[in-house]
Amino acid sequence: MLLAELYKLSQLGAEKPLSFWLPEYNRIRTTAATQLQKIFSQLHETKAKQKIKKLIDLLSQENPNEFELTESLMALVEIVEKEKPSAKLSNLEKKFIQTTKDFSKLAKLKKVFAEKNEKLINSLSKEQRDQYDLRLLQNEGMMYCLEYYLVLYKALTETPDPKNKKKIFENQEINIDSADLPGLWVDFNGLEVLEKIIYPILDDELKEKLAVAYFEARNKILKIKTGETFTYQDCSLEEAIENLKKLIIIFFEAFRTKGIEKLSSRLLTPYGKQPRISDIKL
Amino acid sequence: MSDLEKLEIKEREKESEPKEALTQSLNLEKIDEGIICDELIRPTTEEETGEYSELIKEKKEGLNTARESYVKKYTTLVLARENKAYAEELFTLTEALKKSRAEYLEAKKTYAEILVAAKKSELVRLKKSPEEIQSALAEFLCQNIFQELVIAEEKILQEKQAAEYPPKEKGVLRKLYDRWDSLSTVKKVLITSILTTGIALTNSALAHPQAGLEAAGFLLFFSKTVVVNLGQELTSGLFGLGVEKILTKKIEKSLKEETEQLEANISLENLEKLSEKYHALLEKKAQRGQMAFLASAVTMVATGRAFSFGLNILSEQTLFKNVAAALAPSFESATDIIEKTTEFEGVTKRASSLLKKVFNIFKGTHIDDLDNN
Repeated sequence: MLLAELYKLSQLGAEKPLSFWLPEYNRIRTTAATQLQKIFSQLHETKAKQKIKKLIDLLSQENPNEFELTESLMALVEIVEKEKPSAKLSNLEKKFIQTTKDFSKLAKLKKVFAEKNEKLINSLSKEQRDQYDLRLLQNEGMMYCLEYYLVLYKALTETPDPKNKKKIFENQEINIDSADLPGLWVDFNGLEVLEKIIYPILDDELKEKLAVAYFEARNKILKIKTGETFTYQDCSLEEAIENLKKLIIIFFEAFRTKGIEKLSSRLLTPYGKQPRISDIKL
Repeated sequence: MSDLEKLEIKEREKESEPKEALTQSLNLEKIDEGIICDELIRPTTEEETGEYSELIKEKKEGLNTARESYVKKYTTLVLARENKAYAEELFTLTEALKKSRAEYLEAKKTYAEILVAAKKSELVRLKKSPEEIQSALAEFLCQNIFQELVIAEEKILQEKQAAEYPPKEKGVLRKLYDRWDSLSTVKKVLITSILTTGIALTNSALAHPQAGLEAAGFLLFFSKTVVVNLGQELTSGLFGLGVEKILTKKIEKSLKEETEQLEANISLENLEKLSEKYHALLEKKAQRGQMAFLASAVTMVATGRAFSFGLNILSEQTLFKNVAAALAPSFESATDIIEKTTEFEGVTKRASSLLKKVFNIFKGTHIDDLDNN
């Protein structure tokens, strides 16, 4: 079934950027393109036919433009939504619609920052670019990402009651250190750190490294929720905590690579005042 | 306003621009959109005609290849650990193993998807109602996918891993346990009874293979030579506690219940998770089985009141040559169990003599017989 094939694509795309799952994409795309060709041959000279043609063209490529691919899939979503009232949608159709929208959101975010970063890279010298990344990590990276994750990680490890640990993942907001911080599921679902810190980084190598670690942790942590309920079926509480820890370790490495050795402790002080990163034992 | 929001507004504006007059093409547009919607969910020709054999074959081969690769990486890692490789090398091998395991699970899922799609196609072809299809697929998932891809597949994987174990890695205890585990529950309990009571183990029974299930079962468990040498001593000297008999029943019951629970939750989406859970269940069973076996072994080498002597020998790893360090936790647990179920007062002469006999047999060439199996 064509929809099942396309759903596989959008499901993977909703989880991580296309470059991370190209081998899977190339395994799926041929079957999907062949089936789309059969539909194409039945259509009239309409806009709908053009949309199918566009999708076939994209699926014929081994490494297509991700944003265009999501646009093309979104065109199919629009057709399905127009043709069928939501009550009549099958589960697969609903899942396809939702994951394609998520895929599209992720691809748009990447595109926006790719364009913005390109302009900056072209207008800045190497030294200025390094300074830009350093400031980004020292300010947003430190407060909104590293120290935020560390505060919650410390709370997770020091709270003995699993119910309270779960609250740190599940709640919209958690009050720690006199600050109302977003819960971890909300944070990862909203792609906050990706948008605020990782994608704005100009150093491609560093960005790639952080993005890989981020998506690995995010995809695992988001699995604590099934549908509307936190079930911890596909990711246990321990696994979720472990994944957060791994991500923090990668952030530690990134900060130290850029010469940042201490936490700023401007707002959050999970491990005391300005401790050295190397002294923090997770 | 975030950059993302700006982009979305720009796109909405683009969409609201005056569009071309649709007039005549309007109906065609509608027709085409209808076709697209129908075709998106139409089973493919292959699905309709049930011509899945090639795909099934291909995916099955993919699964076999992924399994082989995983087992190979597993063996490499075990060997590296055995040879005390550097931490960096172990880390790289562990990561490679994790990746290979993920690929293996993915191959299993892909194969399952094809099997389910083929089944669905068959049901559609038979013009079953949506409700009938749903119910038949649920049954198919439990009876076929779970049995074939969770239970049987895990068995294949474990057998391959065991076969690829470096010789030193697989202790005699594990070999004995594996052999014990392949027997039916009836035989296991029967053997346990023999081990723990000494009943029915006479030289006469051993001389006549048809003498009974007891003798046959026991022969499977230990090599014939061991049995012949032990027979008389056991018959006259042992009064076991039935420790393993109780444990065996408990382990089998627990595994059955837990497996049934997994089966009840089978779906294509959680196939990977269930495979991992079943794998963990078997590991748990193996550990508990080793405990049970140890309990039995100790019961065998000593009378009911001579446990500490037996345990000392076990802990020095002289009785069971090649007992891997990995077995230590289960050994500790086993000793706990035994200690809880017995009272220590001293070593009888009879037990001491028996112990020496058993010790010599295990220490001798018979161990090599076991290694070769």
